[in-house]
Amino acid sequence: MDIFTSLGSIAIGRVQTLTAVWSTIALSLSSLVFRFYVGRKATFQVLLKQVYFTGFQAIPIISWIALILGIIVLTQLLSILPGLGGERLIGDILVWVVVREVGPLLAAVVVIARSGTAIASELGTMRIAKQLTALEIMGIDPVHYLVMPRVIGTAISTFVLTFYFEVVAILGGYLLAGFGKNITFSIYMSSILGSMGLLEVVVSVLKSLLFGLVIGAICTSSGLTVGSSITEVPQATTKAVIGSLAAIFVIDALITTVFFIRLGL
Amino acid sequence: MAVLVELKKASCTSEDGITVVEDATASFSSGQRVVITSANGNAANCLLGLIAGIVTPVSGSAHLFGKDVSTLDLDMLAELRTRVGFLFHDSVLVSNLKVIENVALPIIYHSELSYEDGMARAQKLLDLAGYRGEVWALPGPLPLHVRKKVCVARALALAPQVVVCENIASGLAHDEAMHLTELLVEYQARRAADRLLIMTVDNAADAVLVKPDRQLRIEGNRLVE
Repeated sequence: MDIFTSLGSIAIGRVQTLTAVWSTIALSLSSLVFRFYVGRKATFQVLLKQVYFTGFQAIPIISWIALILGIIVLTQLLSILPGLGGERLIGDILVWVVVREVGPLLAAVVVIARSGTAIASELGTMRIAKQLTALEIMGIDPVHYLVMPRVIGTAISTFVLTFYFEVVAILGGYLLAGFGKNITFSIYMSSILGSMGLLEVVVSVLKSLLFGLVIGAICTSSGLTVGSSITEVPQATTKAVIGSLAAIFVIDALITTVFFIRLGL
Repeated sequence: MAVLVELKKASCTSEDGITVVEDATASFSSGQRVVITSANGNAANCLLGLIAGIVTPVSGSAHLFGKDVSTLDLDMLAELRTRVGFLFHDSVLVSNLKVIENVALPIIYHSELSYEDGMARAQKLLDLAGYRGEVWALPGPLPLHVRKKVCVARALALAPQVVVCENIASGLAHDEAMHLTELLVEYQARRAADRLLIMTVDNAADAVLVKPDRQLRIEGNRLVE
């Protein structure tokens, strides 16, 4: 009986968390569309700051990770494929690994590590300090002013960072292919572009946008669950990170399954 | 003189369900300077919440500008709140905005003024409140008396019809308290026929600064004229 009670309460907790996340996304999108003109100058400032912090300031770390990943993947390919007579597959495998899977995932992980933690802890601290109440008293809706710009800003930033990650990783691969194996840039790029169809682009865009929305929603809703004690802030931050990581891997698996297994591609 | 705030047997409770204010009945009109004396900080906070439309009464009703706050949706409440300037006892400022941005926020959010004009207006209000520090500093390290000046500037940003102030003298030196109180009294007096000022104080001595034309007090959890 105790086991069933525990499992039941865990299940209820998961459903409540999922409901909170999806309602945060729905509220943010409806706030963006239906209340676009409400306080637009102030909310646009918050959105710009979020994109600057989550997107622009993440460029150095994203560049390093993407560059190293490109070199690692190409090193492995060049060490395995020639022996199997499969050099033709270099472009295909690079696109499969970087564009379909690792690019969106690693960009999202960087966003969680840098910005997800910041969003959850900032909102938690603001809630404890009654700053949300102060906003309400000024007639400012905290969802419209604080949550929506963070969720939308995180989605925009994750999308842009994913695209940037993929470009840098492919160029990083060329550093090894070009300088190590004397493959010309035009041959390398034509191999990559030949392997990249519309589906790869659509999947990458879909994953990055969904990852960004979900990370933004989980981190904002975790931050806003903080009650009145400062010790709840690190707990909410940890919850936001773990929840975001779990969510992006589950979503990644679902999208990959739907697009590449069900469609047989 | 129009009735701007009306409480009818309004009660409110604390988070743990204890009744903090019970059956408060009073109406406040434009042109009035009201002081409410209360030694009980929770009761004063709750009563001002009812008056400013922040707290919904658990029983009875609270009317702000003739509208029952418990029947209003978020947008309607937000619209009413732009006509109320509220000063917290603990002077809460938005921590990730600079001092001038805190004051400019309601202006930029609610008005059609450009960002630059909003900032210029915020600067004027800060000068008026006697703020002499760095306007592009974050508010976190500011001492209480400086934060109170910023909060006064922010509360007056939208030229509200009702100003509700929670214990402004608390934690301030006499001169500082007098300066800010005079500022609020002058603000109300400038368009006395339209504006209402309600302040809570810890003790009757602080009420002298306000020169009130009406005084109430909270005894236990009851509002007494």
